[in-house]
Amino acid sequence: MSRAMPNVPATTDDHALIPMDYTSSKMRIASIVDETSDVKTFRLTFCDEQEGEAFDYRAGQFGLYSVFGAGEATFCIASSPTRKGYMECSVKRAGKVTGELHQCNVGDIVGFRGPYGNWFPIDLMKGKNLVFVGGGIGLAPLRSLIWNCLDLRDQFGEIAIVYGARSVSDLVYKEELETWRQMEDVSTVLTVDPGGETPEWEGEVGFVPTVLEEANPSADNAIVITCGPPIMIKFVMMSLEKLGFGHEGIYTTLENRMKCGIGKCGRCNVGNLYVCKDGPVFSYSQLQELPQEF
Amino acid sequence: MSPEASTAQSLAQTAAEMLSQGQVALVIGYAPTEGKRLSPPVFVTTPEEAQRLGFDSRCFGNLSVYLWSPQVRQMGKTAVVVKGCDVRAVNVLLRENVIKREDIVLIGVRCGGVGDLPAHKCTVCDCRDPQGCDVVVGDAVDQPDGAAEGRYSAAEALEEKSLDERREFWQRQLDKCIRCYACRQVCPLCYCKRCIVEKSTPQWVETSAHPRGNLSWNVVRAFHLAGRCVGCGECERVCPMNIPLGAINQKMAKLMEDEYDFRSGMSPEEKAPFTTFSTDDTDEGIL
Amino acid sequence: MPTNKLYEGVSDWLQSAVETLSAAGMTVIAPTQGEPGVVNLTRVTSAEAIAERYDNTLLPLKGQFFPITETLLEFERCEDGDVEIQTEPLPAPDEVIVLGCRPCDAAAMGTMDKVFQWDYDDVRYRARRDRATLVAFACTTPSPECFCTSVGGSPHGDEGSDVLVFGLGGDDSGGRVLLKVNTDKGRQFIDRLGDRVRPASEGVQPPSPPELARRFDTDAVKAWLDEGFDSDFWQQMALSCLGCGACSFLCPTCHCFDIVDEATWNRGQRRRNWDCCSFSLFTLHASGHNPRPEQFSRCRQRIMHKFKYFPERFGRIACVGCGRCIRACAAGRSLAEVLTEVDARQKG
Repeated sequence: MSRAMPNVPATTDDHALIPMDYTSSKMRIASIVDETSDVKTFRLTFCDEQEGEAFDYRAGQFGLYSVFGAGEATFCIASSPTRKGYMECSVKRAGKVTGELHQCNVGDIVGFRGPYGNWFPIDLMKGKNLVFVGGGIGLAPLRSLIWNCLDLRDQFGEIAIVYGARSVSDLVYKEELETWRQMEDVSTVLTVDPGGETPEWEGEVGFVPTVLEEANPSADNAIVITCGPPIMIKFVMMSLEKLGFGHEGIYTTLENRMKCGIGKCGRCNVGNLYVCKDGPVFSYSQLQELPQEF
Repeated sequence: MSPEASTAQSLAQTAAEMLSQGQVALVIGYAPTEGKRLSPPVFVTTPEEAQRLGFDSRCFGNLSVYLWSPQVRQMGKTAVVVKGCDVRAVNVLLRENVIKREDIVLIGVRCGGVGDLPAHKCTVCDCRDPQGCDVVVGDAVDQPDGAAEGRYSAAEALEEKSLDERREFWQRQLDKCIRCYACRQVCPLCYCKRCIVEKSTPQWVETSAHPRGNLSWNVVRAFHLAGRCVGCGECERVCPMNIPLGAINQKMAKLMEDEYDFRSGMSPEEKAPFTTFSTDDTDEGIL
Repeated sequence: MPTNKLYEGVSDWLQSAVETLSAAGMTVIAPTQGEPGVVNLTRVTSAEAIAERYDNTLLPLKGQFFPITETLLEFERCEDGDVEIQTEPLPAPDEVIVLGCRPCDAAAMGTMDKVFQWDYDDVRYRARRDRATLVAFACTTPSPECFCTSVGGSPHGDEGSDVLVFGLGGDDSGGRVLLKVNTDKGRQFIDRLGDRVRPASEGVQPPSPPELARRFDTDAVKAWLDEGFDSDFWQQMALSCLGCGACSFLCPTCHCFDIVDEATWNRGQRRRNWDCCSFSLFTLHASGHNPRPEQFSRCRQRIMHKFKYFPERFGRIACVGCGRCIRACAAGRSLAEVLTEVDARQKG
């Protein structure tokens, strides 16, 4: 059978089957923030108030968002479960559904089903020092977790955030980055790739792995949570090894293509796992055991 | 020695020489196998493996479909075993600049027709002797008599029907489509990196296997082959649902012959009516 | 209620079954010959339509429960900006009797059940399964492409069927038969047939299954796959694969699907369609990244999924050896041959 997962949602073995008809809930777009030229953050509220009140999720989970007529697409939930009454997702314009979402206005109705998948191991993180390493739009799932931890600040040790993007204009959540930078109990390092800086840029210039090594966070009693483009992850892992981090203390979240989100459609199957059910959050040691097909 | 055995021997010898002399890195041919309905393609990279090559009446496949496959291309210069009818597809690929003549070696094989009951295309074949190849093997074969008459018989049989009957016929046939795209994947001329049915912004063709989606798909497929299809019949052969795609292709080919006196793939230098622009064109048309 | 598990059916049992069941308001699905040589499962109201001799149906049984395309919901944009969503109702609970699938197809439903009924319970699949009784006709003459015995099945296998029917005359099912009851649903089916069936006489046994040699050993296959992900075998074996979906679509256990919206300006449907891991777009991200960029990696996935990943996850192989993929392959590829080769590699 499948190898044991530290934080896999319950399966048939220990809970009743959940009936599934693939219906979407209706959500209204409450606000839209232009993060970059091709990334927008949508704040959504359930049209059905009761549904909104009952809705619960954990940082790291994802959902299937839909524009009726264009179809469904998978994104992580980018807001923290500690912030009730709404949910946010950040969407990069890339294909059909994301393109249509970018055309939407405040007040428009979109579809949502979820939350699906596992979550960041927040219970394991308690009492630990946390290092968040993000690149580009990969900050979205981290943002959910970062605010989750910041809202429960006293339960965690030191918090370090290393975040970079190709250029200053590609940084997402700019206001929040500034908020984190000014927090005394959070050490935030921001960087842009060489050539991506502006005259006003006060942060670092350099690739995320290099900047991470310079920031030199201690591996002692620490957990790393990283998300970004595959190439960044690859080099971040090498940097983390240099810094003395063990593979089991590093977590990331995968973005395989998905259609059902519930372990049936087969699209996100990697090895004997389904990214949608056994992930999207995986430890680096788990990923190393998988066929490299993500 | 039977004609089949002697053809096999020639193929094996030719391929082994090409491989051992470094002329090509790969030979794609047929490997007739006892008990199989189809002599499957074989990809030969060493002179020893060349012994597997052969030719018989189960060599249905049009192997030119592999000439533009990325995996095959990265293996190096390729020789391919082609029947006379397959050469027509190669000619279109050359005409459309998908492949370069200097990158391939054509091993023609004289063919007396494929299938237990010869396939329709074989009964009306006028290219059993492959033209334009680097080497041709196999014993001489006779062309069927009066090939031209029956060339479009499947299309003509449908033309006899009334519009309503034809609509009903095609509706019934296309309803069977399961959207496996075997017709597209086996077609040497369906080389688009991203097929229009896979384009989603906008979604030109619905992907659901319902009557509307199936009609769109099959019409689009046919239109993209108008004036290009060489009638190799592979799409119809591989359709798991037995949709008579050949009749659609015949209809288009017939129109091309009637209207433009053009048969696709008869030579690599030919000018295709739909892709040739001339300022002194006197014909009425789109332009 | 009779406790005997074997029943004899008189020569017109099939005729009577179709009439009785239809009259009771049930839907009878049976193999019928539409075009020459092509048998498929369709609704019948008389036994005359039922094909008497056939290797197997062209399309697999799975389509009765997991249709090639189905509506999940309908939506309409209203003028006030709201969206009306109508979830597709569950299939009607009318009883459905599948009268004449092959044992391999019935066994395949065990694989489908695993997928559609773990953790999340696919309600439409469940409804179709719950209302259906599977009456399988044992195979008398496996086709040259069949390899059920290599994957743990048998031409007379009774896994997945509620009743297994053995022809005692020359035909598969038309004449005198033995009916083997496998489940409670099967017993109910027998009860409905009245005097057309009776408990089999003492000592009557089903005929022995036709010979079908085992071609490979799935344990050896699994052992090789466990270590073989990076083998150059995959590139070689995949060269002739053209990347169509015929093998998957005709496969009784392949279950991958796509979900799409189809709409006009203000209304449309969300549909579920069969999909296939051999297609290059199957895993392609919107970013352009493709975890399985080459055909060989997709061919490998299909085999790994069926013979390694699925057994590891769900405890059974996702293949019943029906041979449809072999019959359908445009390039004459054979899954059985590939697995025989894998088996040989494992055994050195």
